[in-house]
Amino acid sequence: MKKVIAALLVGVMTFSLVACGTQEGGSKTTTTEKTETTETTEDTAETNDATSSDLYDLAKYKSTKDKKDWTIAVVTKDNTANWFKRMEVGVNEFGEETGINVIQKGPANADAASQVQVIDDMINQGVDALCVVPIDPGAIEASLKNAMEKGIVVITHEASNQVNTLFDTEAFTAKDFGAALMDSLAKDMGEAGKYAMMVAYTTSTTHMEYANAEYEHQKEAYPNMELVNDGAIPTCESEESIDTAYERAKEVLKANPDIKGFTGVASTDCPGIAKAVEELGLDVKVVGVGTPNEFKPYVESGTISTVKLWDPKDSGYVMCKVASMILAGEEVGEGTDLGLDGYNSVAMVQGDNRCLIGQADITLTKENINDYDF
Amino acid sequence: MKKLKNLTKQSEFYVFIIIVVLSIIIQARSGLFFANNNIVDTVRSMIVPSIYALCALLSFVSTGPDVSFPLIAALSTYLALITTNALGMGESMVIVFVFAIVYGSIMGALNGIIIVKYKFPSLIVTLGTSSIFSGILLGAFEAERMDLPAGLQRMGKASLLSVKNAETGLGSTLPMTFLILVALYVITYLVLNYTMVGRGVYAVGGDEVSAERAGFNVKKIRFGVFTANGAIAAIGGVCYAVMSMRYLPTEYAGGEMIVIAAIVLGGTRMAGGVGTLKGCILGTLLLTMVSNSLILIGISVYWQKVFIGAIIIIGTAVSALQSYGASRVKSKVKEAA
Repeated sequence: MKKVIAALLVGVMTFSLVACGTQEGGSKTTTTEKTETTETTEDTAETNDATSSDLYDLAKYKSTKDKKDWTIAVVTKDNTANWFKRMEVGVNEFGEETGINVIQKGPANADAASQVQVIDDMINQGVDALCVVPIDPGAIEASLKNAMEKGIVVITHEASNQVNTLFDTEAFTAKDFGAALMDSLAKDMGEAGKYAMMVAYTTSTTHMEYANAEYEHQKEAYPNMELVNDGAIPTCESEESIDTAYERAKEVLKANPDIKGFTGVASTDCPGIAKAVEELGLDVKVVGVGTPNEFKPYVESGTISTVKLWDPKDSGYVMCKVASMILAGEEVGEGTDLGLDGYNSVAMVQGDNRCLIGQADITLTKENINDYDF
Repeated sequence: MKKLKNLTKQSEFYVFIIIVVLSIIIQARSGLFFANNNIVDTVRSMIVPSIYALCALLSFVSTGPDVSFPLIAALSTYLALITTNALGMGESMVIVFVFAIVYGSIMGALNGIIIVKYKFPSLIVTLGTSSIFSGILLGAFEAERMDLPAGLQRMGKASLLSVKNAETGLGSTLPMTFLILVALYVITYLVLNYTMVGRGVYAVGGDEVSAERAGFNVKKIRFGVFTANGAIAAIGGVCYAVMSMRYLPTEYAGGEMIVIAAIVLGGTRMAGGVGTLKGCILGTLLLTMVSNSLILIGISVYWQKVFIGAIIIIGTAVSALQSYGASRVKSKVKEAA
């Protein structure tokens, strides 16, 4: 009997996978497919409320509790970083606006294992929704699945390949952002010369997607530019540390003194790179992702020529908003208005997960960096 | 001849050979290793790990592993910075160090008390306290990245030595913290080799009972070692902040394992009683050199970790085999007797 149920489960799972795989874009049809599969599951085996098709049915997550009793937990990569402090502003703003309890927590060390622990703690505390910015999406899959099985709404940010999430929210597609980073770099370094790339960890999905998108765009649009080490992506890792970023950047610059540009996609990368560039006395344009206040000295001195970013305040707000909409049983999908500029009509892309994408990137240069304070 | 034979018995000697061979390989492949700016860079990267290595050495030699030093460093640096800021004494850099040493000693003493009084394994105790310190730092104080007071900033900007590579035009500077490193090693060397307390540190780690019978106060020595470790860690923590010109609370944790690997590479025996400062420096040099040169010789990011792991295992295996050989000789002597 058990074997039959197992076989049926496998069948249902495969079917749901196929169903999801073919439904690029059309959100409405996906939902109907989903309910169908849910029914099949219920017919075949009553005991299994844990099959993957079930887990993604938004209706299941509608909360019966009063709105005031909801708790939405936001788990970040590192709560001490200014980036996530800014996110907390958005999260708290959402809390004040709606009267929903919100908490933001980060791991003590910025590594995947510590983050798993924070997520598990939150699950045990019985939160209603978990919004996570993963350090390593692979490492937290099991915990997030566990959360969803317990009926907790799971929303992620910066993790387009996270499987166990109801929605991943992004300010823009990684491809567009990578291309925009490359456009800035190309413009600043005169569309010619060697450049290098830094990411936090090779396991940081979005960082790698930006890096790959940068390289693809460069090959297409800027044939006179060249990525060092024969196009190995990335050139080096900063391990989320400014000091490591500095040391690695210095090595890269020593090995390739003719470099003209450097990009760094973690908030720790560019300050480290800029410090190395200034110390070595080279003329290298640094373009990257980070917060205005931390980058201001280097932007004003001209070492960091362009900063690209999205506002983490909005990202925090948007994650909570999506979570609350699901808890309230509202529909979320293509074209949903999440109530913020850049997120007024989000696009939905079906990949490893359902991804909600806004058009919310910001470009900072010497001229406008003083307009942003975080 | 006899001298050479003695030399080959030390694991430091083998680490030294590995260092020489590797540096020649790196030089041959990149042509940059022996450049003056690269040498200064390597020394710069070694400063903080070498200071931590002292903590690891002292604890291994006398008692067992201490894994709390990165967090003692982080918390005491933070406390020292906020105290100096609150008292408005940011102009002086000495004051920050003094406060850090006081706070660090208190935290180290806490380790010492628990380990000595209750005879708990030092690994468990220091794991526990480092978790507590981390909680206090990031939970209670909600420490964040911050700028340094004026005195430390001046220290960070000042340089001891500035070199410029004539060929590539790339420069490098040696920070003032290098002097602190040298001073700490000289003091530790003198204490370990020329004082009764110093000899006691080795005696206690080698054989607790014999040391006690020989008249050493085992408890006092162990307590002292952990308190000193706290102070040394605190100095390392301030040095790290000075060198990165900012206080970065989350970047301290996680540094302990590579430091322990470095001193074990350098011949420190994990069972206690054996370990030298020379080995400490050589082990740290080897690991710093390897992790800082892989980009120079063009090894891809993905292979770098494999490479570092391999060096740790090979290096430790060499010294382990060598000390295994030594203990076999010893037991043979015993049998003969």
